[in-house]
This record gives sequence, C-alpha cells and structure tokens, in this order.
Amino acid sequence: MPKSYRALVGFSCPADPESLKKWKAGKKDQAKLMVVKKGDKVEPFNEDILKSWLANDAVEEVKSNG
Amino acid sequence: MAKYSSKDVGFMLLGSYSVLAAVSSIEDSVTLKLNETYSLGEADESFWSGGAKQTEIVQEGWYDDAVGNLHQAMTDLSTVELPMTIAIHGNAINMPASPVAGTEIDIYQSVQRVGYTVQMATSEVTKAQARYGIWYGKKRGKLVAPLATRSTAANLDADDAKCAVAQPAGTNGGAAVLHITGLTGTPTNVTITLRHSVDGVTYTDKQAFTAFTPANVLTGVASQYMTFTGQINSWVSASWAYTGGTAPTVTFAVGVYVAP
Repeated sequence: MPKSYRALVGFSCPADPESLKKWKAGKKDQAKLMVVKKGDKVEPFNEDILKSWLANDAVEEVKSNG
Repeated sequence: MAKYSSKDVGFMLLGSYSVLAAVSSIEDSVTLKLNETYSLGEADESFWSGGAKQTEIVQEGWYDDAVGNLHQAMTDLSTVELPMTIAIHGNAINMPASPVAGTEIDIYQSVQRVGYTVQMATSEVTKAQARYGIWYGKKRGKLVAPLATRSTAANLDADDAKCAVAQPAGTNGGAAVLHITGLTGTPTNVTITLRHSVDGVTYTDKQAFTAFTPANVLTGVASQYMTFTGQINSWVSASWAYTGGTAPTVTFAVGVYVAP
C-alpha cells in the first residue's frame, strides 16, 4: 500500500512523471503543474518527486494507527 | 559614492510609484558621521566615529507627469515611508546570464520623501530634483519577479524564463520587497507570496505579503518590505492570487535579500 503524505506548507511541482521529465529538461511550459494546499493529503507519483518534496520540507508522512 | 546611468536601470520603484525618469541621474551617497572629540586647549582637532551612516539619494532629470510617476509621488512630500527598489542591472532575471547568480537590485527598506525642486515644466514633462532620506541603509538583493503585468493567478516558477535564482541560500532569514504598480479588474485584493525551492522542482510557500487593494495602488502605498526568518533556498519565486474581481490583472515586482 503506497504511503500517504500531508503537505506541511502550500507547494507546487510537476504533476506526473512525464511533466517531471519535461520540467527537468527546461520545458516547463509543456509540463502540467500540481498545486497543493497546506494540510492536503498527497501521494507521490514516483520516488524522484518524493525526494524533491522531502528535500524541500514540503510534506510529512501520514502515520496510521493500525 | 556611486553613480549609475539611467539607461542601465530597469525600474526604480517607490511604493507603487514608478519614479524612473526618461532622462536622469541617480546619485546614491553614504556618509560616515564624525564627531569632534577635541577639547579646549588641545592643539589639533580630533574626531570619533560611532559608526552611524547617513544614506541619501538625489535624482535629477526629466519626469513624466503621468499618474503613478515621480511627479505625483513627490509633489506633496507625503510623510509616509515607503520601500524603494532600483533594478540597477535591468528588469530581467539572471543578468548577467553567466555566471548565473541572479540579477542584482538595490533595496531600500524605508524611504522618506524629503525634497522636491521643480526647475521647469513643459506640457507633459517636468525637470526636477527629488531627494530621498534613507532609513536602515541599502541592501543588495536579487530580482525575483521582474516588473510585469500578470493575469490569471499562477506561480512564476511554472516557467523557466520567469524563475529567479537568489544565491547563495541562507539560514539567517532576510527580507523580501514587493511593489504593486497596477491592479485592474476590481478585485477585493491581491496576495503575493514569496516561494522557494532547494532543487527548482518543488516550490514551497515561504511567506505571504500583506494583501493589497486597488485603493492601495491608487494612493501609492501598495508595497511592503517583509522580513522573514530561517531558511531561504537558492531558487526563489513568487505566486499571486486574487480575491474577487473580473478578469483581474496585477503589475508587480518582487526582490529578495538574503541575510549573511
């Protein structure tokens, strides 16, 4: 089961793997953007975007009690 | 003392006013104050400095008398203190392009309008001298958002060509400066937010400026020198969002100063 994360602050980033590739290639105008509000729950679409979220202190993991 | 040619200056903003003239000189001087310390009977004069500096800007040239320009800003010598920002290297990010280190700007936290001498006026331009008193000195910052008109609420970092770099990153806080020179479409207000990123991929909100109304712009005060604490990352950007309005647009510039 994929881990879930909560936004610690409002943030934005590429919305999917293809957009991330385009973003890194300097084609931001062709990339879809994902805008997240503080407190929203989000799931990373791949490891690279999760690393970026964590590096920017944008999210924290949501721990379940089960 | 430094002098800059007006042709190199991208903008000169005082609050919501654009005070860059068509032809002018801008003289920026910093003076270290000395106090006499010799007493009666001493042969030679001696002085002591407490470290206090006085900063002044004198601007002289030909000014447009359009609304929102220097003539309107200076004629009544309002006592309201405003931030001033001078884009000494132009109104584009990452100038020079190599090495990429961000476009340098001069940020004056608190500026008092102290003198305005009109020398002559023609039908639409005025030759005059404007004098500014500077509190808290000058800070060398980086341009985050060039002065431009934007429409739909968005993030500047969604476009490479509009995303700024402020290097180096810092952990001791700093300040950001905002100038709004236009706000159309009658929104209730507009909120500009400073954003940053360590990798240029995920941008997080750092801190929001005060929300400003169209009336704030008309009265020249839609601007803020906003201090922040803690970490500021290398990639710095801004977003904007409106409350209400019909197809609103906002014209603004943002700069950032990273404390050493």
